[in-house]
Amino acid sequence: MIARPFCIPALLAAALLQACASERIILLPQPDGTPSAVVVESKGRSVVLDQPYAVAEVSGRRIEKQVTDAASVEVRYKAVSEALPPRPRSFVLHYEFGTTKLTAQSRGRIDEMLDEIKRLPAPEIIIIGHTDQIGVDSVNDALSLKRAEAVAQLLKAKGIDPRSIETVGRGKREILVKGRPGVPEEKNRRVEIRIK
Amino acid sequence: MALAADAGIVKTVRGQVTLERAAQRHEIKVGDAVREKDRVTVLGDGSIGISMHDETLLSLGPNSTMVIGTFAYNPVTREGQVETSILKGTLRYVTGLIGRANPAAIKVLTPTSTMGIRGTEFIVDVPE
Repeated sequence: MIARPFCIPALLAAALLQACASERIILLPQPDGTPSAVVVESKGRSVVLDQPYAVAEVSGRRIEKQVTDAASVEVRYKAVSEALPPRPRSFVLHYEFGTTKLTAQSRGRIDEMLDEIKRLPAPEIIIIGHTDQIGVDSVNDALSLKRAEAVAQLLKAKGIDPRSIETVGRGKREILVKGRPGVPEEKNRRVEIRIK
Repeated sequence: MALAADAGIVKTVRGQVTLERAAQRHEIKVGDAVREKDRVTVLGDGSIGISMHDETLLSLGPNSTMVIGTFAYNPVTREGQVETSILKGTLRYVTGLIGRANPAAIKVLTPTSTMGIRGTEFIVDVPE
């Protein structure tokens, strides 16, 4: 056996041996399958983990790259994985043209949202208003916040705890559909509700 | 309720988990808020799951200690900074909205390493 640098030989006390245990960083797959990566740096050295289940083991001055798999992670890291909060869910509401009246389809989603909220531990509801690309930020920010607050009122009326609701106006920072400059695009005028 | 000073809300707790803030230590439960500079400790075989304001998700497994070093977030622009240290135990981490806009604003530290993140979910394991 070749001793690792800075590790205590195996015959010494177990308490000392612990000083030798490696830190491990394991890249997990993204739920939607998109690529991702972690760069692990330690004492001037670094490795890039860019494949799911790639592992960086950091011990003393060494970083070693290893590979694990879903089944091993599930067993070894069961407790920490089970504790992860549920992932946020997103609902988008649209309005009938030029009104504050929700489309029939959007009205139908309200009940689905309420069910979801009731299912969650310590639920938080973040209501994000968006505008189209017409106009300046200051006006759009205020308008989008007003849209978000209208939805907040609706949820409060349905019995949702006001303290669990946050409203945000993002104006035109997150355009869904790129229209021609100066031409209003209805699909961008929306309210997104993120529930976590 | 997410106050401006709050960094996140506790969503799951198993067993005994404590929070240390300004030299005060108390047990933490579901619905409690965590803030920048808080130290979270899982005793024995417990665990905790926290959802941060920017939708970063993190959980700690048994015998773990974590410090929320920095947390700043602007929900309108989605700019901010998150720095988390795992001193011992296991951490599972899912990047939130700050990281989606600017991965360089996310940092995870262990006693010996630094992690830079590119749109990512991962586990960190720091033996005692």
